[in-house]
Amino acid sequence: MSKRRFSSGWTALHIYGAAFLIFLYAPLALITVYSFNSNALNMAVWTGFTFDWYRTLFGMQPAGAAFDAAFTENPDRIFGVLRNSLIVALSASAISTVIGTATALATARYDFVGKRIYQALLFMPMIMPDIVLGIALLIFFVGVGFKLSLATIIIGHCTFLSSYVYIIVAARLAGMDNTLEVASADLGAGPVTTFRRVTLPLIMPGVIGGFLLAFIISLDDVVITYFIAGVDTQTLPLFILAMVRRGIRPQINALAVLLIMFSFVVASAGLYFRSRRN
Amino acid sequence: MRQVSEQEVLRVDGARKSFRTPESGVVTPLDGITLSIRNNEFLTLLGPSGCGKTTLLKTIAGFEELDEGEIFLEGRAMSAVPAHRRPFNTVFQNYALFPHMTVAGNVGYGLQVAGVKRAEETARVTDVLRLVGLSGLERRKPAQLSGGQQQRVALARALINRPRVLLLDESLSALDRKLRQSMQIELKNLQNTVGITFIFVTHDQEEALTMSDRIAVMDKGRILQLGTPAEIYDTPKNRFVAGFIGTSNIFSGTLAKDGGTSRVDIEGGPAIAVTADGFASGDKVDVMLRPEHFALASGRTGAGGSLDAVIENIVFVGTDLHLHGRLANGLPVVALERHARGAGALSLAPGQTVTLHYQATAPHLMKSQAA
Repeated sequence: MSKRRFSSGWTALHIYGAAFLIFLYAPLALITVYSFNSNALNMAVWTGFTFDWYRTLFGMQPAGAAFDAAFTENPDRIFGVLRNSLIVALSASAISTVIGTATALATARYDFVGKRIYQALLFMPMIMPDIVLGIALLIFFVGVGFKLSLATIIIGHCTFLSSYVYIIVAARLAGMDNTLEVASADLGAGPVTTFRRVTLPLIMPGVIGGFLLAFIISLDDVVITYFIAGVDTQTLPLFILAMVRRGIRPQINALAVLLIMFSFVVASAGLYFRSRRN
Repeated sequence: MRQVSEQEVLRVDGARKSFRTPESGVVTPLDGITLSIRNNEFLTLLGPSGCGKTTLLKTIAGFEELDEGEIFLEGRAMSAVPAHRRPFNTVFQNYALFPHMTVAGNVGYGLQVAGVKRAEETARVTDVLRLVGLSGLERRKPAQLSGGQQQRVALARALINRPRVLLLDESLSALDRKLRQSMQIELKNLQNTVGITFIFVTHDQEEALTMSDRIAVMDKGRILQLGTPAEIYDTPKNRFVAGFIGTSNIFSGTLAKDGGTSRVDIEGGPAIAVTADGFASGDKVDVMLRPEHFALASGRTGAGGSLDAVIENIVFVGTDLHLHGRLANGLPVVALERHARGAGALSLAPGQTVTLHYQATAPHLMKSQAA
């Protein structure tokens, strides 16, 4: 086996692999670098290192003259928007986790008329274009006289997040041995004890994984939220979108970096829980 | 030593269950089963797959409901009692150990659920693990155990609740032959120690013969015969039981009684001399001859008969030689010869015609099922 036979293909693969990673991560790296660039007017030109953009983001007065007076966003608004986003993401993913898990348990354990159709319908919110779902939800809320608010965002997010949780937990349940629940009953445990001591611990990695995925999807959803958020409620992605419309400001870079770090932590936690119980 | 008393502990009365499958219409795993199980006995439900033995076990455990009939524990009807309130425990075919709990957690589960105090639980877990020979493995997870060890954990987990009846669902079939044989002996010893009624489900007739006090042979949702291993082996009720237990030669024919002697005329073949109490001349019957009933030498005393066969194959299994041959009419026949070192084996060869002698008391008559 000569090394030469492989060398050209091998090099091409290396280049391809490197290009792939650069393509994925260069924009993120660039944003991170920009977020520390003190040049307020042209972020592509490096003038010096600064924490100013992070400081203004959190409402602290910047030390230097670098602070752009044109930056008019109120830091209190950012925190309010962030709070909205966290409320929506936490509530929607918590509710979806309960609904999705219960649905997965029902379809895995029981046979009922129309089960196949029901299971197929559970995939619909995932494959339906966001824009259609957003409009449909808007029409529905307006139709039944719901005032658009954080609550409508939460309900709207639940409609499709439940599907994600369902799929992840159902996959976990499919890999679980049914006789374990029978064995638990055989040893004297009632249905509640069996669920608490046997079923739940065994599907927990799926439940946590589903929750975290739902949380992340909810946190950065723009399209659906755009339709069902009221005029006076805003989430972080909508806020960023609005900010970008008036030009990309350095503060957005700082905000993006913080979001990347947050997502990274959540995703790591999800992977950790998935691997731990297997 | 364990005492099997005549006292009934469990009674299955007219159990019937059927269900519809999408492929093959209605399946009836239990077709009117009545069975009385005695205190402390080792009862085996034996039959081919699909005969209903596992379904019967599941209905006793309470995992499945009966369509008709009732199960009584010491006279108390069980149908309204859910599985988790029945004083039975099961050793599952795949053991069904909780993968997220340690050995001690698995074994102690039944006690925790019952609200037994921590100190007592620990003591009893230690005791029962010693009983099954697993002391020192308390902290292990099931995945870190061998198949034999997992089986013992499953057994310990089922025994710790001191059930009235222990149900074993093909619990040894996943083990290799050697381990299975040593577990068979251990299970028997264990039953002698703990004194619990065992109901054991298996499709392995050898296992059934070695372990049971009584065997219930099942087919198509019915119990064909219930008896001790010797009864089942020596006097099977019909062709199915005879064929399922051990190796046998079964010939169909018509009984002819002629004065003091009786014989069965095999269609297109020889006649077999039999003793035929309880049968009438002209009855269609099946005759069973076990391979060990044949002898190459006619030295035995008493009335008997013989069959001529052409040897096709000789299988050496250590203690014995299995002679596979054919009668003149083409019917296959198996005979068994003790292996005498050097002597017998050398004089036999395929293609050779031998005379197989048997005593008149050896053939076992069964009513023909063909009708």
